[in-house]
Amino acid sequence: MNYQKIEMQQLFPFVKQQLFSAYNLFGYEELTLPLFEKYEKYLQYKAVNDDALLKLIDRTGSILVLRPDATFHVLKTIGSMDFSSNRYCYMTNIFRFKENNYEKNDTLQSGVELFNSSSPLADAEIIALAIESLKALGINNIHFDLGHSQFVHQFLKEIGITKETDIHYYHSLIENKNLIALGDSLDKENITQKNIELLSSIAMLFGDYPTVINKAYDMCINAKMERFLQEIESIYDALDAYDLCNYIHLDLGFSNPMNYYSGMIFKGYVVDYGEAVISGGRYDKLAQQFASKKFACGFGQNIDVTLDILSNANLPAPKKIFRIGGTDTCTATRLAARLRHNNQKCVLLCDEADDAQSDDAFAVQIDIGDTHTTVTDANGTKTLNTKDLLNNAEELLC
Amino acid sequence: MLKLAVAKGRTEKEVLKLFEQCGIYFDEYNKTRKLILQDRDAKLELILTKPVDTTVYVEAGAADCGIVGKDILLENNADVYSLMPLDIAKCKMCVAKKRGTNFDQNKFITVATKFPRITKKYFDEKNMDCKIIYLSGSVELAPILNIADVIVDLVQTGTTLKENDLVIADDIIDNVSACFIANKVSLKTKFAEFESLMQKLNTAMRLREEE
Repeated sequence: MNYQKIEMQQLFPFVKQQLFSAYNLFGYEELTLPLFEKYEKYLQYKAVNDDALLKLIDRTGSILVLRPDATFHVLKTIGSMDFSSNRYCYMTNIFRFKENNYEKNDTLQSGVELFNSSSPLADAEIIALAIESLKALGINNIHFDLGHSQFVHQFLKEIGITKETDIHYYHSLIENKNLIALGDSLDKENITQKNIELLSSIAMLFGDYPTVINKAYDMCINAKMERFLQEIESIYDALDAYDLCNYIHLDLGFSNPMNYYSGMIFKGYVVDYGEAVISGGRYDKLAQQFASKKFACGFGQNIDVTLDILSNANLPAPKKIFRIGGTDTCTATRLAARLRHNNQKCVLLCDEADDAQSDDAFAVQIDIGDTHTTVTDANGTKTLNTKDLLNNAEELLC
Repeated sequence: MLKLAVAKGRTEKEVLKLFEQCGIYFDEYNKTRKLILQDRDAKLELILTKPVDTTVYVEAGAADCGIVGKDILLENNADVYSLMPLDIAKCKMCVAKKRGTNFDQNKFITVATKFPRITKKYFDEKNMDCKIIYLSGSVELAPILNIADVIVDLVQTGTTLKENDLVIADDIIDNVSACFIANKVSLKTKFAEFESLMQKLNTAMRLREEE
């Protein structure tokens, strides 16, 4: 987030409120996450590239890592406490060193995690919540790609690509849809022409759900791959009941060598914005390893990107605000207390210098003199008797 | 409309030729100094960028796709789809040394280059210690003026090397050519337009091969 920009500072509370109310409506509870973790613990996690970690050395000489990812901390937190809920959400900063970014290393991220269910209903809930959270911000030109993290992986395994360095290499070619290099390299490994063609087609296997899912079955070379497609189908069927299928497209060329995700995987885009705003999926293995939970799925939303997308949007009008000042400070203070008690936003002006008027159109200025009080709002000015003010405060002003 | 970022210079000229073979015409080209041009059918917008910056525009989504040398693509380590190599602007990337010197892999050497990332990766893989001096052009000067032992640079015909008394010591990337790249979101959200453009490019490339 660009902290120095007033627009961003104004936008952020709106985004935070809308997202948390969406998460809350689905029953997700907010978690607060720790900032540091011991470096050795991160080494087991492997989800973030070592070069990207921001490290500190404490007084004893041990290395600490500044939170580079939220999911690990969610897992550690709920794994070490006796929580009763299965649904958690958060909004927090994450810190990563970015090679091509000369200014800042922190990113705001929000997210949700759903534990203990392997049902397609759980996967569908996460995707539905991801879509709803964008809609809650007034973003409607949404495009979601759904895939399976093991589909490409299983294909590579079946054709005999099992060495870790090879797996990484091929995943990166597929991830970048570099079909020429893919074909050349597979040719050298003596993979059959038919399988090379199949894998190239899988890399480009994205688009409308009905078209792609049918094509995909023709590209399975073992029963496991078919099972992954059936998983996708049951998630899509579950999403149908949410009436959200028109946002869902498929990408079965999603490739995931880091072993982070174990099941379905998805990305959320906003049309005409060049970067994914949401990414998520199922990560059962990590949940077992770090939180002793059998199943888990969730998503993370990049708030920096979200703010950037919204920077030109029209926000809903802010709440009416009363600005109260004048010579009769005692009445002013009492009136402010009365109005706040009635859930009205109220600023008590301390002195002449204290009169910033940034939201003029929504402000009601009240100048309380010893005998007369002037009330000014967008509609004009009226004069009231100061003595009557407190008795009829709500009636006069609301 | 698709926005296409193209590296100015050598790539740009060959790309424009290729487009004419595809039946895509930019009438304003060469008649104005505008950096953004539209084609005759208003289906494609051409954005002329500095070669090293092309991937930046595509990665950020300011351009949906781009045509850029593989050298820049590797050097910038851009997070984009590299959909197809185009058979244009071909050259290779080499280590070159002064004629008559040795390229001793056990010695500490100084390398001058425009491509520090590719260079570092190459020397790391060879397990060689080196110091890299970044230069933004005319890299051939470095060995002549004795600030570097060798250079890492693109070689097309070898004339520049020869005239500066340099010879190739090793090839790093055999086949550097222009690549058609895409923004990772645009490819999904504008796929129909991509498909039609790539088909045209493919046809034009096949025509070239037949020639």
